[in-house]
Amino acid sequence: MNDFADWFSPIIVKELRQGMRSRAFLLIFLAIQFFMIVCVIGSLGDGSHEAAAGFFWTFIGAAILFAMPLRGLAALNGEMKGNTLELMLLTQLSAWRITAGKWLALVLQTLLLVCAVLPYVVLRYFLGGVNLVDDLVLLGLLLIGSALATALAIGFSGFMQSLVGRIGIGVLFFAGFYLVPLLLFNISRRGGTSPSVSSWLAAAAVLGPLLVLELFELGVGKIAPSAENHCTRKRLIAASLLAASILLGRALHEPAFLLILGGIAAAPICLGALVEETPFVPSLYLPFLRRGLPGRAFGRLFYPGWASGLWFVLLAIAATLWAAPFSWTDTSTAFRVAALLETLFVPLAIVRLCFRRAANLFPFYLGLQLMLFVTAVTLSANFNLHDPHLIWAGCVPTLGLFLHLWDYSALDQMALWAALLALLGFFALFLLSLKEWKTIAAMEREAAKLNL
Amino acid sequence: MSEPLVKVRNLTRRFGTLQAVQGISFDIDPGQVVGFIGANGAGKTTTMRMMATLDVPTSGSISIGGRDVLNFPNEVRRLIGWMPDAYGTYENMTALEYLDFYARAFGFGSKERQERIGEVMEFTNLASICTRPMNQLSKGMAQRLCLGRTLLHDPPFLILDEPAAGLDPQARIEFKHLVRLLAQEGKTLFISSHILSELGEMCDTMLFIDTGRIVHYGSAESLRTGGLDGAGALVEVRVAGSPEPLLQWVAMVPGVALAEATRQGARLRVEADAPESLATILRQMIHDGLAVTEFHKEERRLEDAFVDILHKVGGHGPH
Repeated sequence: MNDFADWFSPIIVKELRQGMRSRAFLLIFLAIQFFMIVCVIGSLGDGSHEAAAGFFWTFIGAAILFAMPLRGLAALNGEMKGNTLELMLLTQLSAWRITAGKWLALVLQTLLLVCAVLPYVVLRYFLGGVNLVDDLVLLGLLLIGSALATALAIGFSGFMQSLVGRIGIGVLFFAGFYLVPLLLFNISRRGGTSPSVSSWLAAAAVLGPLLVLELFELGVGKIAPSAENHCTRKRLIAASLLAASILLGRALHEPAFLLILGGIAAAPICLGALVEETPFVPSLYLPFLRRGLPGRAFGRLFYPGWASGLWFVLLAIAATLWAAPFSWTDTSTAFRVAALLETLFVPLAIVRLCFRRAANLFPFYLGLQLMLFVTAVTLSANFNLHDPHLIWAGCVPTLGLFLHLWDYSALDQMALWAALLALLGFFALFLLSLKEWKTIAAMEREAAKLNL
Repeated sequence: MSEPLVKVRNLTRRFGTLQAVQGISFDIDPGQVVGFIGANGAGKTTTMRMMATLDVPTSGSISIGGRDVLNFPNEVRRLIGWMPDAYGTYENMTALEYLDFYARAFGFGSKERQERIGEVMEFTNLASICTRPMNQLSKGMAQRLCLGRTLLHDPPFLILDEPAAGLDPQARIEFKHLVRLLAQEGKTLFISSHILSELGEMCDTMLFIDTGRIVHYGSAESLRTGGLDGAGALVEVRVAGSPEPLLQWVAMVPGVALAEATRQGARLRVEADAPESLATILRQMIHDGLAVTEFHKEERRLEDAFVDILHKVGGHGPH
């Protein structure tokens, strides 16, 4: 109960108290000490510097980049499971402070591990064969990487409670580890060059902090009371990610690479915006109404709920397409865009029409998308999709995207059909959203009364 | 008459097709201790969670201290203390650290915090266990700790969801004592339970809920002494030997009906509850040769009142 702790947020104090006494932290700490001693002893022998250095960095990397961030997966999930989260939310701690505090506490514990490693780094320097500055820079980079990985784990930890959430995270990891490198490889192959190191560093410096904020908001949105609006902030982050990637892409002459990175980073928020429920809480509309007509206009894209989310996503896609270095005279590009829009809107329209009374549409949307994805994989593996008789396959959401990966020759007709289906899906969603807008108008009227 | 502290109006909560709370309305005055009674799944916790700003009503409104719960949740949170039916404990944390964390989270400064924690620990008698890890506390101790956390910011309105569930008899007595002390301090309490006898001893007002609807709201005293709403009184009779002759006698005598057969006699529903009428019935029993060993008019049990009310509104009995 010392006064020093008063300088920190209550959640950081609590997390540090708990975290540093936890078995996981103690085990990692002791294991690091043990292996560091082994490595230093290993360095004493002649000619074993290389092997010892490999062992040294592999172990530190595993502890800092993997073991410590992994603890973040239980951060919000543990509070939800333990029935302790709501009690915290009834205090002066907001969902954002809780999430950020948990992240910072974990990063501070990782920093403590890094500090514990420092004497061994210096010792290795005195034993020879080591560049101290390089080692310290590498240690700093590991710490930054660990902070990002911890944000990822904490952001997703709110979704770990349900099976659907775990499947969703699995899909995202699959996308992260398999599809993203595939896409980047595809782009660099087409461009003839791969992205430069400076592009990677610039992307990390600009998009990295925004990505951390996005991950925080994903966690915050999951734990915040339903009468709070976190949709607007999420969408602002997504818009910033897209804008930053467009501007940076132009400045670095790597528009495709950065647009893909920005697009992938903004995708979870955009998908969420399409399935958000409209909250019936008039006070949420007050901040918009207080800014008069511009505020209301801003609300058409940033009000909480899927009705405004639909327009936000459409605008985000339009901005991305405008900035993309596509040649619009190329039929394959037109097909690619049409197939993407179709894959986004048609399953959503189906889900919205079939499960109108469902409280949360996301599991249904995710389920249908997964089903279509598996169907597409199975069909593309077992059939010759270049057969002209299978032209209809291009109109099936998701499958169309697969067809494009292999340069299909008869894309012009398919592009038309896919575009028509995408338009139909969007129109159905637009009609369904009119009822939501009616409710929003009523909420605006109620909010105006509160303002008085 | 003072302004009600809590106003609930046409409150509704739907979960998909399930209507958990169906347009309920009630007021709670400052200083009132209200028992919220209903079977499992009747809508008690859902209602309380909406009052505690943790859930959003489908329609209707709740105002606490003149502030709307939905539109001004932060202001309302300062006025309420919420003690849920299931609350978690933390690993690697002592009881004192638990209270310290929440006191920090409620925004208390260093000195103020230590004073407040001291007061709460004294009130809930937690001082002796303050250094014990949370996961080693008994259910009763943990319940007192949870109540202590609820009281840290000194809220005028306490919402306690099934506070005595799972407690042993000693812990129950201690808990009831704490509730009485809080009531004496002028706190307004809203306590839910499905064990009526427990609430009967703590509350001055009873709010019955069944399948999301309020079926009764009135003082506990009126329920106990209010008889059978014009249907007379309940009399417990015990006889020496078999109760069979008593049951046969009841079947023949007008104005007396069997409420419940017991091992040593019966509980009777008597139409006329004036003392003279009861004396006449007793005299007749003895005259007819019944070996009466005990005869007394009983206060109405809250369980009976609840069942009667449910029958009256066409609901079903408690689960």
